[in-house]
Amino acid sequence: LCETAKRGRAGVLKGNRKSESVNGMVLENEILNFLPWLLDGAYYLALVVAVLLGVSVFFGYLIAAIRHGPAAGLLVIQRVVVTGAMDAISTSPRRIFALAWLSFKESVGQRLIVVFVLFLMILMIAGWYLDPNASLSLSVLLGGSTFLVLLLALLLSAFSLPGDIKSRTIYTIVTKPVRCGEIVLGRVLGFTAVGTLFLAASGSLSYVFVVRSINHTHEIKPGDLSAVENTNQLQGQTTKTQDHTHAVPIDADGTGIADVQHGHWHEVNKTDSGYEVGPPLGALAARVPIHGRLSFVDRKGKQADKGISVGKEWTYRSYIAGSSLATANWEFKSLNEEQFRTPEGSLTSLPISLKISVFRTHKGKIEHGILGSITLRNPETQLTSGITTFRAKEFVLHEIDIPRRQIDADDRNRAIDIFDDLMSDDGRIEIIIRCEEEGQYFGMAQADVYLRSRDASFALNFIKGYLGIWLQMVIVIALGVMFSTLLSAPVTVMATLTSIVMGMFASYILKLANGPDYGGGPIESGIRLWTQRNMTSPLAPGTGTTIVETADSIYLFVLWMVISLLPDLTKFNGSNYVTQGFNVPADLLVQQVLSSAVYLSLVCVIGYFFLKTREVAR
Amino acid sequence: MTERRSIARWGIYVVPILILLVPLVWLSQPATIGARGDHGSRGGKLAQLRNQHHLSEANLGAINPTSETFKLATLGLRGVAVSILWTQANHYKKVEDWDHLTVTLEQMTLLQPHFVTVWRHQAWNLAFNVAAEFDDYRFRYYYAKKGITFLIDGTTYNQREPSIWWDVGRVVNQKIGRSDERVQFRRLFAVDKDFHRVLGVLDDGGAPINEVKGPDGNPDNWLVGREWYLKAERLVERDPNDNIDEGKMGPLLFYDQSAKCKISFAEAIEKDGHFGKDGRVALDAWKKAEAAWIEYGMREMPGRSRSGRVHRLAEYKKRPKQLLKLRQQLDALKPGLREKLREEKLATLEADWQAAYRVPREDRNPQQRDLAGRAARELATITDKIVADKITGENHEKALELAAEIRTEMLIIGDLLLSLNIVPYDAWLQRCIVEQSPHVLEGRQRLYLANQQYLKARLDSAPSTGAPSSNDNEQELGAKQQFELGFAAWARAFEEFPSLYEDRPICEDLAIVVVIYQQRILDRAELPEDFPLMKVLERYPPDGLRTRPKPEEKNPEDVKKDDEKKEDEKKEDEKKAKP
Repeated sequence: LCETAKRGRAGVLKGNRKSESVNGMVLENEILNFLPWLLDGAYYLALVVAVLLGVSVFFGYLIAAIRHGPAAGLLVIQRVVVTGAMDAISTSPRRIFALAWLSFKESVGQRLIVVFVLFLMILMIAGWYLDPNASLSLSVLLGGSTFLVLLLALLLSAFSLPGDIKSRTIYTIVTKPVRCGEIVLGRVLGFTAVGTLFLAASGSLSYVFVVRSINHTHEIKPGDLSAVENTNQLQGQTTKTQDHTHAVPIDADGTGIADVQHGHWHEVNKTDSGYEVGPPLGALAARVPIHGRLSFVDRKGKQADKGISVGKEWTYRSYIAGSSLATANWEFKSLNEEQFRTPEGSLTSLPISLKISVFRTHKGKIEHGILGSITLRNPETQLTSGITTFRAKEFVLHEIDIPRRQIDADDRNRAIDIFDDLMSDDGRIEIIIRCEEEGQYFGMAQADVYLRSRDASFALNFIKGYLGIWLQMVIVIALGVMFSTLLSAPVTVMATLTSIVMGMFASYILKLANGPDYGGGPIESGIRLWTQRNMTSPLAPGTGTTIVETADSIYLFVLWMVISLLPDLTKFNGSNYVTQGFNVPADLLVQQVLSSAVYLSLVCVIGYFFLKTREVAR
Repeated sequence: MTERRSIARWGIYVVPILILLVPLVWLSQPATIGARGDHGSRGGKLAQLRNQHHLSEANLGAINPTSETFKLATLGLRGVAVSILWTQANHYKKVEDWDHLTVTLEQMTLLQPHFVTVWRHQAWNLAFNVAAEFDDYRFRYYYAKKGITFLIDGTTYNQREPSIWWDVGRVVNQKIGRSDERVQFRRLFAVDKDFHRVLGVLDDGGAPINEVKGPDGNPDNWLVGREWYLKAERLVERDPNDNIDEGKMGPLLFYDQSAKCKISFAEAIEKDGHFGKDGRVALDAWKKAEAAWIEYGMREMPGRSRSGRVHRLAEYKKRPKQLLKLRQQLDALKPGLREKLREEKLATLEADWQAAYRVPREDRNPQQRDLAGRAARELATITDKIVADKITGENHEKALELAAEIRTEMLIIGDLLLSLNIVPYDAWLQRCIVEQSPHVLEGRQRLYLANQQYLKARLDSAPSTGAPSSNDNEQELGAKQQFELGFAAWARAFEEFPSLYEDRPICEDLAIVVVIYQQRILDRAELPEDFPLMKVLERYPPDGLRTRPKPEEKNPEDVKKDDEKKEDEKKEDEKKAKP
């Protein structure tokens, strides 16, 4: 037992030593699992499609009725629907590809080169000015690629069709047996191919750049090491490379792990001539977090939805009081041993990552972090492990490997195993965190504690990040092509830009439209402003108020409709995960691909009908 | 037709462009330097305005291409962009996203590098508000440094803005030297060579310059801060034609900090225990502090009206004496004249005012004080000028001259008193002098050593070996002995400088040390009656001090009865004791 405990502590220490890492993710909105997301989304999609269809048919009929009379108007609508259906059925992939190839050939010229040169400049500037820090380099390169590829997409899609229509080269196409839908799809596909070419090139270059830029090593001069009191360890500092040094504790066997600086650490081994510092580790990671469900126990030991507020404006985290019965409990589900097996096949510990916020009500010991503890519990049998203590480290990802051999908290002579005894048969386990110092508080949110499964491949994660950029590009191309079927080139650019910018604020505007109506809609707010009335007291009931409220609700519904049609490109942006060293979750990726596919189809259909109305297309 | 139309259109475009170019050229003509490096042309209106408001870069090399690109890209909407970024920075601060906060601040300064408020406010924000969010003191130090570095970046864009330079000194001093974590911060600061380089306090060989070296040879934050204050001072003093002034602070508060740094440095090294042999290191620091403070006191400060009349804080004793002397000279020209005029004036006042005024000051009741005050105000209308006017004959001119001199002197003394209300020059000077006393130095050193011994759990001295007493042996005394010797030294200091009793901070600090001594060393036992600092404790009684209850004052009758009772008991005892 003693040996187990010792090994456990050593494991924890080793874990602590290499554990400070980049900032963890803040997940204010939980990522839904695919199925609930699909069901939820399908409902809204059906609603939007139905309203869109209804509005189009209604206005279409209205215009047709005015122009041709009520009966003939119906016929026009019927004809449009039938032709549309026929066109959809008889769409030929061969023709689409031919048109796509044409668009590709037309646009793969100068613009692509200019944009690529711009990207090379970003790369150059990144090399000159950025700290060799993986997270920062990735963020600049992914951000630069996104910006440039969206610019490229916008220019290609906005200027192509209007240019063809203006120069009348469109007649060489429309006089051939092609359908409007094929023209739209062909353009989208062709421009997508050009953008993909750029992304492939910039992605490969970025990958090589990041991998090469962070690759470095340090030296340890024997004179830099000094003995640590009462231990067999040596302690020292590496030489400075790439603007940083690492503190290295060296064990009696001559090996050591340097502390984390600039998001990475190094392994140190003894050689005949001194010490050898290995390449940087952990900088290009794709951590796979397994999130659990968080609940709280208050200071009296009762279950609570939330901890307490320490008065911070941001309520993302809530707090537990130290040296009390208060705990933060995470329940993890559907776990299995294989998730935690190391690449070498061993299974010695349960890796936990913490990102705990600390709130002190007194200075305490300035030079020490606040003491906390972790306990594991089997939700079925209520078997509880002994405590593992840690010193809280704020704003860094604190990774602790809890050794699989534990002792039973109730019977301290009994050894228990995390995977055999503390994990229930259906793969559930509870992690209980306490703050152990009186007058001090720990703050936590659900995403702050997770189990770290075996890391995914960084290269694959990098590709996933680029896939997110690719999806954004496709949407911008589709939007551009859609607008360009109806509008001139500059107006198309403006319209697409406006859609993108408004789309970025979509969630905020939706909150306005759906959220608690403090002060009511625009008319009611206007009245309140004019009469200098506060936002909370209700307006006097009466016909006037009813009219105002109805008008406001109609306005907000229309606003909601319009905003729902705009793409929120930030939702397709997985680069945050990549730059912070986390694996892009599969659920998120599937959601992104599916929603962009749906969006794409809708935009193409609208583009088809727009083009249909143009004289050139008839 | 088409060709003619296109020529006409060409004309429509080009002619207004040319017309507009003329005022544009006139407005934006650059300032030039003469062939011999002297002032050339002042340039167009824009160049002059830029110069006036210190908005131009010092030279072409100082132009930051990124900043200029940013400015261009916002197409004149810089103000809007900066406002958005400011809001964004507040958001990032709220959600504790420090990396994005830092980047946003940098973007803001790239857009408006001459917006001094951004540099000053956000540097303070980083160094104080953001740094305080971190639990680990090393991160706190890191963000304190970030704030300071941010300000230093600001100085490169604002070479003629002393407030930013001054702020560097302020943040280096306040954050590193005064926070809760000052012990840790000062320790980290002393060995932070990279930061020393950023602060510009290393010489070409990478060693700290002499001006900033602390007792351990490493840069001390107080001296580094002082260097930045001095840079700001030099900027103001560089060229009077530059129109650079101390800004809203005014010279009084602008210049006192560099001198106060020396005082804080002396305090800090004593707290760190750097007294040197026989306290010589600390003594030297206090001597230099006094010299710096006197130098500040000798600086000419403008008067209230800024009419060219100046005063010096160091003259706070000399000026009133000078005034008295001038008055005596005036009165000597016609002895008894002033008294006569005052008597005449007094006779015109109401009878009760006169009566009250004639009562000696210490004997006046409240009503008399009020009336006498009114009378005194009336008498004050007999000015020196009136006295001088009444002196006729050959002394008349001289009298008028003296009256004018007295008037100037009084105005200067008025300004001086106002300044002393803002900066208590005399109190700080007194402090520097007192701290150099061997008793104070010994008291401070012993109390420091007492604390160190206490932390090592060496409460009592080791048994004496009989070896002759030396400084080293002195240091090996236990905490109890060090405390007691320290209190005794302080008691001698109070005898030497009775004015120390008026120094509340020193007395209160000492009283707290006494409480610690009583609680931890005496184990809460009462202090002996002859405790050396008893007077201080009586004057500034600290919380938590156990003192011997004073004997209750008894009624003399009761005392008499008690005495009689004792007498009776004594007699009884004597009776019993008889065989």
